[in-house]
Amino acid sequence: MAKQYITAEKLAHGYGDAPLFSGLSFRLPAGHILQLMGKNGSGKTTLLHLLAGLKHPREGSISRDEETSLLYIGHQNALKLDLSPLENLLLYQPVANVCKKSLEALGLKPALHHQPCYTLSAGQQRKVALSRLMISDARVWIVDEPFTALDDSARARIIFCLEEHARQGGCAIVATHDSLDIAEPLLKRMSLS
Amino acid sequence: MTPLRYFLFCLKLHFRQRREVALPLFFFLMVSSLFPLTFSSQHLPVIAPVTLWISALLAILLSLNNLFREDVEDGFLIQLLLSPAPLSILIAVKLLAHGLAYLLPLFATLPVFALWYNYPWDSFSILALSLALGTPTLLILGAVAAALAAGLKQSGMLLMLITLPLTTPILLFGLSMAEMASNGLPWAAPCDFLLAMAVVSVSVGPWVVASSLKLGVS
Amino acid sequence: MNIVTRYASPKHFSALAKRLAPWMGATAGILLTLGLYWGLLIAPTDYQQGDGYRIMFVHVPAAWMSLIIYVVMTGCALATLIWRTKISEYWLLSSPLLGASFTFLTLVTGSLWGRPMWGTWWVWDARLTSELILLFIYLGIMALEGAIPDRRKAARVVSMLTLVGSVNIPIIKFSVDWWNTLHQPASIFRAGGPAIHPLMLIPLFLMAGAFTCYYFCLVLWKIHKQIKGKHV
Repeated sequence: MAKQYITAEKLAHGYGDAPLFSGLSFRLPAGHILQLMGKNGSGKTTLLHLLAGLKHPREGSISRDEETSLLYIGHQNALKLDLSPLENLLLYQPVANVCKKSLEALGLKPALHHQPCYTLSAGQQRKVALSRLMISDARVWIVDEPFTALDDSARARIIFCLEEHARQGGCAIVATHDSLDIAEPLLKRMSLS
Repeated sequence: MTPLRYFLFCLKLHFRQRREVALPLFFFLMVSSLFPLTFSSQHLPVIAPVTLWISALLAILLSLNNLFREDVEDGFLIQLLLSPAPLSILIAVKLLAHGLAYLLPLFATLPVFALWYNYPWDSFSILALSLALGTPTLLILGAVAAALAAGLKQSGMLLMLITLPLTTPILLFGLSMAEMASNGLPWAAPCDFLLAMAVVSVSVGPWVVASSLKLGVS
Repeated sequence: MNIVTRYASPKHFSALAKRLAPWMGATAGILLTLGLYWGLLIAPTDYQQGDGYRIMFVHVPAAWMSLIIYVVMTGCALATLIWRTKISEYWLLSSPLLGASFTFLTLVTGSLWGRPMWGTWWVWDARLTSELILLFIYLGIMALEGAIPDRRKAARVVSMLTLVGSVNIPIIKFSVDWWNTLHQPASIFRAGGPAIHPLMLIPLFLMAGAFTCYYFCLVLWKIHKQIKGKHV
């Protein structure tokens, strides 16, 4: 049986007195991509925060192997706009060439690598944030709305990258409405109502 | 994200944002120049420690307003919280960079005040020492408040309201150290108190700030 | 079921609070009447301060309460952060306003008491200064609580601030005393003080009891109201 990276049991959470979801149980085994769907305000980001351990669930439990490293890319880019794309990435990956390669893979030309991020467009900034997927050695990826403001070629590259990650035994949970063009056996879907 | 790389990252960021980093320093210079401007010159050496201490206190708290605000807004805080390196170490490193960026320039401008306030040099060095010993505790107390108020409305004002009453001992010990020195009295006792508080707050402070930050965002 | 675990659940505690609060209120009323009667009419006139000293029967118990409430809040804060108990959260968030009120009462009565002695309404006496800073700490806690919409998060954040404050308060007290001995050696409130007449001591304790019961009455009632409001 494949290794279970994340196991969630009977999760319940909400804000104030209104419950967002309850009785949510699922597993995230190695070699799978879980696509998380649901309307605005259905609790997708909250669920991702719970899985990452940023919040404690009101009820239920989440077990995640402490040893497995985690990569979280939120709907915010977590970029320092006064620094260049390269300087932002060097915080996570010290080898500059590796960073440059991943930026170029998503279509950011070398001329842009050294400009402050505030000179980049929203889509380009998103690309800088997502290029961390390509330099990460984390086994578990949590990605929140990756495709906002992204062009088609970059989107295809990200999907390819997710597929590779699953093939190599990693796992990912991705909150998005777009259809993920990933081979069926690797992809699972879950919808929050 | 290793602590060392994060430290260099913070320093680089402060350097790029040097226009913002300079604002509390200007505030400090302006507030403390208001007193020599408005008091008659024979009072100046008497009020020098009080005015210097209070304007430094306000400038430091003002600088802490930026400590977590940007990290909350751009989502960087999540990366800090999820980093494999212990959060308290990353916080310690962040505070060190903050201190270097904001406090070193502030201390560099101090000699100007000896001139403005017509303050004797030998007791001025003790006044500067009292500030140097008090600021680590000040920085930690303010950082705890900044962590608790992170992401709230009016977090800057809250930071001031929460921190100011707690800074009373630092202010009183710092002032009496400067006053005793200028009156030719031994000033070892308040110096020891300041030092003890600095040692305690620097050793447990980052951990308290880290726990406060986790509470504040959860 | 164990009695502790039984009343740790908000629903049962709410029922208990509803029953206890009126009794606490009634006890507070009786003790207050007795204390005031004794303090104003039975206790002897002070040979130095005349009848003016009688404000002490409000001032001193209020000062005790201002500290006791902080100690209680510290206990609640520890329980909230360590055991995550719900009742301690409610108790913690119901207390700062009362603590601030008693601190304010201490300051006002202290100022009234000081007027004939100092010839002015306010002197930066060590005790009054410490009380003033305590009031500011309570106000800071209330401001922070008010800025956080989610009650459970507010409780955890306020717990942390309460703990930081409780480490600081003794140091503040010490530093203010120390500063005062440097600058104003003469203080009207003598440390230790002369032996107090036992007839003065009894109303002091009666009033302290009245204030404590009043505090418990209000906190219990507030907790009951909040839990009821949540489950309706």
